[in-house]
Amino acid sequence: MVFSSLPFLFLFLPAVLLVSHILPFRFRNGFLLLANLVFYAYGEPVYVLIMIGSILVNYFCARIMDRAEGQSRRRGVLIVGIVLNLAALGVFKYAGLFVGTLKHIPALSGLPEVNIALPIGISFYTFQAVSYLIDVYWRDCPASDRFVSFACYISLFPQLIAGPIVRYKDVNDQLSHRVETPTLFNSGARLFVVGMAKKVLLANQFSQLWDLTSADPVAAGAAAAWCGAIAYTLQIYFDFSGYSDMARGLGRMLGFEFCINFNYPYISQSVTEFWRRWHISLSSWFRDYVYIPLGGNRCSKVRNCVNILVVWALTGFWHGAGWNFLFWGFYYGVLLLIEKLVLGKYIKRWPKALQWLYAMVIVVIGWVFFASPDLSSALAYLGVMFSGAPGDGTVVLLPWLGLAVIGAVAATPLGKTLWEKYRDRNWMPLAEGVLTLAALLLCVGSLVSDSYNPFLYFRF
Amino acid sequence: MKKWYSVLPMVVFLVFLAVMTALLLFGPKGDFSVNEKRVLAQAPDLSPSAILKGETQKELEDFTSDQVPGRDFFVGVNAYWTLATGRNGAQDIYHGRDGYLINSPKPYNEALLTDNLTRFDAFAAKTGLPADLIMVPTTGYLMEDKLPAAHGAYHDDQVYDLAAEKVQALRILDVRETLRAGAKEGQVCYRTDHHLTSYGNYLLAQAYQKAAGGEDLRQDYDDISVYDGFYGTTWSGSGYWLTKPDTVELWDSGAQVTVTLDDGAGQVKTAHSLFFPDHLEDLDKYPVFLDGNHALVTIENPSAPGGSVLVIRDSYAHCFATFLAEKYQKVTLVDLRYFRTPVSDLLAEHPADRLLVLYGVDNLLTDNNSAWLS
Repeated sequence: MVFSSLPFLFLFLPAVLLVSHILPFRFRNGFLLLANLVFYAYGEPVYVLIMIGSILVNYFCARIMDRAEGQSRRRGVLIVGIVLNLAALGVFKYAGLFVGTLKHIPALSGLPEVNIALPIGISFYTFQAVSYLIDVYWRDCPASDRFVSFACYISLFPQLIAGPIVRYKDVNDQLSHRVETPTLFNSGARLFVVGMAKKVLLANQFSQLWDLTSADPVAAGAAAAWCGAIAYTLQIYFDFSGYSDMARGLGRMLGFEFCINFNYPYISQSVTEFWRRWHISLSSWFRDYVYIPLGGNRCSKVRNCVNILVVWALTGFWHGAGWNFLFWGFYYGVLLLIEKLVLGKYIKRWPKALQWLYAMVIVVIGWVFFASPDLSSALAYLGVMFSGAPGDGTVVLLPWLGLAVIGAVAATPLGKTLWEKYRDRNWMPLAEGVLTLAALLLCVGSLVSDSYNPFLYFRF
Repeated sequence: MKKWYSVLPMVVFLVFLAVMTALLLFGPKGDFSVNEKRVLAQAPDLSPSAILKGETQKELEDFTSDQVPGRDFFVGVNAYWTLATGRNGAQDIYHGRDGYLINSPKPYNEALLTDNLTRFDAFAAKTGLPADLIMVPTTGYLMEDKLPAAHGAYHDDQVYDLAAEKVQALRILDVRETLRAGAKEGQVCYRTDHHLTSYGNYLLAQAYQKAAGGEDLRQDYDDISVYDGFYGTTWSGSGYWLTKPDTVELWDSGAQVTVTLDDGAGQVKTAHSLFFPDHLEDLDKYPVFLDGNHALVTIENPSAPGGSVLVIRDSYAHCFATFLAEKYQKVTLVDLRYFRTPVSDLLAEHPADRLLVLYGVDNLLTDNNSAWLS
């Protein structure tokens, strides 16, 4: 189930909000766990078993590690736990890619096809579980002795599908004690509606433009290809950050506080800054659990460079089982290295607008690698972008101008700045209420219209 | 400040969710969508096996989207929002000037068009009858000045050019200029529907009579009845609910006719009028002409001067045929989308003096039922 769908809005969410606020607190985690499983099983009736398996393995690994005597035993349990988690990810996410690639080697062409559908959210909950095991190993957080609470954490529906990647140590207290106030609920509802508007009114719309230009970039021409790539740039930001906002909003409505995942990444003035603002919970996960354990920057310069490249290759590969994602990660690894070693000190002297333009061009090009089905189509698309070729796509673009302006403004902190400036005014709740209603009406309008299918046969 | 006022977004959010959920679960359920002309989904099958197969989930999606309270209202909200943000035609229908709702151009599918044209032509050649082809241009092509500035290119000229190349047995009746000139005199296309108005069809039928060497249509119709409140299928598909309705005109020549409507499968209806006023009660009044879509329609008018004509057609002929009926003793209309017996058998049973193929340009580019001819 996705948040921006009618069954979620008008069946699942009202039921969960109603029951979870009526139940005495001691039953709430149990009820939430049930809701999480229903939420997950709705889309993946069988794969819910994998998630339950993951919950059991990680719960007991941490328990055993907690009781184990001696560092080497603890380390042994940790390694077993991590291997099991990564094995699940390897089988369900990457096996198809690896086997498919190996089949290109003539001697291995007889390997069977692997067609395993990706269980939704496995990348997110596996990373949460691994962070939990490592934190327990480092004694950064206690091993949970309450199975229901722990299961509730791993499967928590607001962040199950698209993050943020929440760490157990950050929500441990909230699992046993949550403060629910109208003010918190109010800010949650507001954040949820903002996120839904980003997803439905912006991301879903921009996707149509990218679909249009990527279907036949040569026919569209260079200008349209740039617009398509920019549309995808906006689409993925509003999609992902919209989803994170909805997750954080839902969390607050249920009494949880999750970390910020996006901090206006498209105002960045360098690639380094972009990655401090984009998908923060993932970058910090890799920083804490891969980069620093590898030695971080407290090692030789060469080793440090290798560490950076490894981390970014993995970051890319985490995003999807395709070589283009690995390439996309490397692309950023190399660019970050260049900024760190050479370019960084010069960039700072450039005019701000130029710094921003530099960062955005790199980001937009990066998304072409990310969005294309494979490397060769990404290169073909980029070829059109830099060819200067005219095309017939410009007529199609004109109608998108209005939405593009809305999207560009919405990607800056302007709205937030205005809100912070006027938040104490008397009229602010009224303005918020009106905007909430408008956003709800427009989002539901858009969702309903997706299903509005006049029966074509009768149109003759 | 009152407590509830300071948390107004929450209040709005919760009230909205509560009202929508309550109405969805406990409100009246619709069976049929008039605008979409389709049956609406009902509550899903909740059996465990259906849930495991994912069927329940699919049915639940359909149920919530089909039965969501205020469905048409929300479709309208989305249509006008999309329009306001500049994406006119995002749902394949343009919000044109002067209240014209115009279908966006269909993609130019040359292969399908060639198939359609060659099949019609081969059939015409096989019958050996004098045969004509009328391709009714799209509203977008005829009413270009009503289109928004940024619109796709209409392919009507390309269709005519390709037809000129592909057909031999059929004589192409080029009605583009006739209708464009006519549009300066009166309303040729409906604003809310993709068909031609009665006036447009009158021009078409007059042009046909001229080309076929038949008797001219009368200059004045004494009996024209006008009905307001016609919302056509372009309107239903658009969500632009605030568009003002069309009027539909019944031009009655007073001919004494017998109309037989046959849907195959033995269901035959007979009537003594070209018009079916029951449909004037509906929003979509176009089926008032010959009762809308039927596989086979015959119109007999024994006192007419002309002989008999077989028309292979789509719905553009519903209104057109009411003019033809005045001048031919027998008009047989075959709709290949529904007619499933060989047309040559039909022709053997009901011999005709002339053959006419009449299609809208859009349908020539999208419909492949001409395959039933061969």
